[in-house]
Amino acid sequence: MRIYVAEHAVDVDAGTRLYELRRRMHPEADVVVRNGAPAAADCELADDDRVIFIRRGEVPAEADLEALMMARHTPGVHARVKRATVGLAGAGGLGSAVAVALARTGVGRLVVADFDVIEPSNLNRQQYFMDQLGLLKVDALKANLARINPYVRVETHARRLTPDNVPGIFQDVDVLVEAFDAAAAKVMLLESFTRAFPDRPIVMASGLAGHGPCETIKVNRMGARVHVIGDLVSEARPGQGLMAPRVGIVAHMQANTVLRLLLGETAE
Amino acid sequence: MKIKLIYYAQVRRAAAMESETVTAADGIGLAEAVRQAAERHGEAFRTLVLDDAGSIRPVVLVLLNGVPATRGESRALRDGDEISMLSAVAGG
Repeated sequence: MRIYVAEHAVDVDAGTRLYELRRRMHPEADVVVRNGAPAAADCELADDDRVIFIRRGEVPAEADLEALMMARHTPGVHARVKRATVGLAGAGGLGSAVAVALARTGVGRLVVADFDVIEPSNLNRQQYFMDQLGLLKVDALKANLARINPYVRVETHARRLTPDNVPGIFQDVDVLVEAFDAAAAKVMLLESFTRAFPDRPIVMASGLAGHGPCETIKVNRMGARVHVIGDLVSEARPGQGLMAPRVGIVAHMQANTVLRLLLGETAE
Repeated sequence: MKIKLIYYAQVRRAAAMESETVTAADGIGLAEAVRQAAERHGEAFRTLVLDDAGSIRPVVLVLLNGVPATRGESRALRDGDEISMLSAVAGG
C-alpha cells in the first residue's frame, strides 16, 4: 500500500505498524503525527495515511520542510511564490506582520528596509518580543523569520528610505509593500518606486488606526498597479492609536494581495 | 477638452462628490487642474489637497490615468485624462 511520510510517497507492506515504520525511517523521532494528529499509541497503517516524524529541536531538510509546510497550501502556490522577491518598506506594525505571513507562505526572498529599533510601545502590535527591545527591527525580524522558515532569504537594510535610495534597495523586487507610518512617506515611496519601476505593483496601506468595524477595511485598486488597503480615513493620532487587531487585518490583506499578484490574479 | 477627477475618502467628502468631469483649457497641467478643483469645492477641499503655496500637499496621492503622478508632473493634460486623488493618513 502507499502512504506518505513527510509528504513523500512511500510503498509499505500491508500490515506495517506505525512504530515499526518509525524504527525503520526515523528512530530518533520523539513525536509521530498521523493524519494531522499526534499518535498516542502504535497502530496498523492504512492506505493513504500521512505520517510525520518529528525530533524536537531538529530543523528538517529544506525539501522536507517545504513539503511539510506547504502541505496545507493550495496546490501549485508554493512552487510559484518561492521564485518571487517581495520588498517591504517598513518593518513595524504592518511590515513585520506581512513579513511573517509571507515567510509562512514560502515566498523565496524578502527585502526589508527600516531604520528603527524596537521599543516597548511597539509590542502592542509589532511581531517582536520582550527580549528584542533595543534591537534594530530589521535584525530582529530576520531572526524571527529564520525561526519560522529558515529557507526564506531575507535581505535587510537598516536605513531610512529616501527617493534616492528606494530604486537601488528594491531593484529586484517583484512587488513592493508600503508599510510606513507617516503619510508623506507613503506618497514618497509610491512616487519614487513607480517612477523607477512603472510596471511593478505596489501594495499600500492607509486608514488602519483604532478599533472601528472590520468591514470598512477594503482593497482599493487605484490603478493597474496601485492597491491601497485600509478604510482610507482612520488616521493614527492622539486618541486613536494603532492596535494589533486592525493593524493585523490590514497587514494580512496586504499579504494576501501580494500573494494574488504573485500568482497573476486580480488583487481584489 | 474634458478631464475627469475622481475623489477618494476625505477628498470625496470635501468635494461632496465621487467624481466630476469638467471642461478644461487646452494645455492645462495636472497641478493647475487640481487648483481649479479647489476653487470649485471651497476651503475644506483646498486645505486638504493644497499647501499654503498652492502646491499639492505631500500627503496626497495623485494618479493620472491610473499611474502615479510625481509632484512635478509637467505634461499638459489631454482630452479624456483622469486624475485620481486620495489623501493618505498616518498609520503603519
